[in-house]
Amino acid sequence: MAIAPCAAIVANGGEMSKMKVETTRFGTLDIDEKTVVTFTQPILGFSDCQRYILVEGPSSGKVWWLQSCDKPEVAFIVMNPMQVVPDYEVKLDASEVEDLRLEKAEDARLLTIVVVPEDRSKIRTNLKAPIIYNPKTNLAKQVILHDSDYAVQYPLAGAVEKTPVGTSNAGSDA
Amino acid sequence: MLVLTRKENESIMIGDNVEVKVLEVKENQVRIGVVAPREITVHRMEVYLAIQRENIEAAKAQAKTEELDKLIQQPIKSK
Repeated sequence: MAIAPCAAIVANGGEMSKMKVETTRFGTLDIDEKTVVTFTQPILGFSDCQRYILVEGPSSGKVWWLQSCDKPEVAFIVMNPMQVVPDYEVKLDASEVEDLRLEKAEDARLLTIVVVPEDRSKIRTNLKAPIIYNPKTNLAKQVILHDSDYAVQYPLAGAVEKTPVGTSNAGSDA
Repeated sequence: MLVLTRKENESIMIGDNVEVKVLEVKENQVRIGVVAPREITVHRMEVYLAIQRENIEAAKAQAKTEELDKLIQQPIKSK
């Protein structure tokens, strides 16, 4: 089933219950506990980080930071992959729908992790292993799309000129 | 490493909940079926390692989001 693009992250209403999150990049953040995103399974390689918050970038909502609440130095830049591959699609299986307590697939938001190396021309995003996020329950998980040809390293810099939309196989997909 | 010999359609159990079954043996390929509870994720090793490596690389990012907005070029597509 197809998933809608990631909309702005909106905190649920109700009373605020504040918590402090130490971060190396943003200092100490005062956040509403309700906005904490819990990963039902850790992001691969980060088994000691389960809780994150989404910090919006300053402009236009193209990218967010997914900042760990458990480890100050762990933060990922994430984006809506449909900004670069408009027909990007993820098929969720029943266990993922259940795991994230999705009432309907359209509730899910998709984010892909961006890698920003020193050499900025190699900036890329991982279309093979997106993060599925349910804003209603604040549950998320990184899934690996076994049956898709999406690239682990999809180039972002100049991606439009180099790669026709729809043939997203650049990079070193396994 | 524990080494077991199995024929087609024979399984091994890992713990009480994970079954690994040999479905088909061709010349140099083996098809394997895994039955596991959903909290146990199953991945091809090379894909697992590639994703893990990419995640670790991603977490090193020091970029400013303003910079990223410029780097990520949006295709101009009418939807």
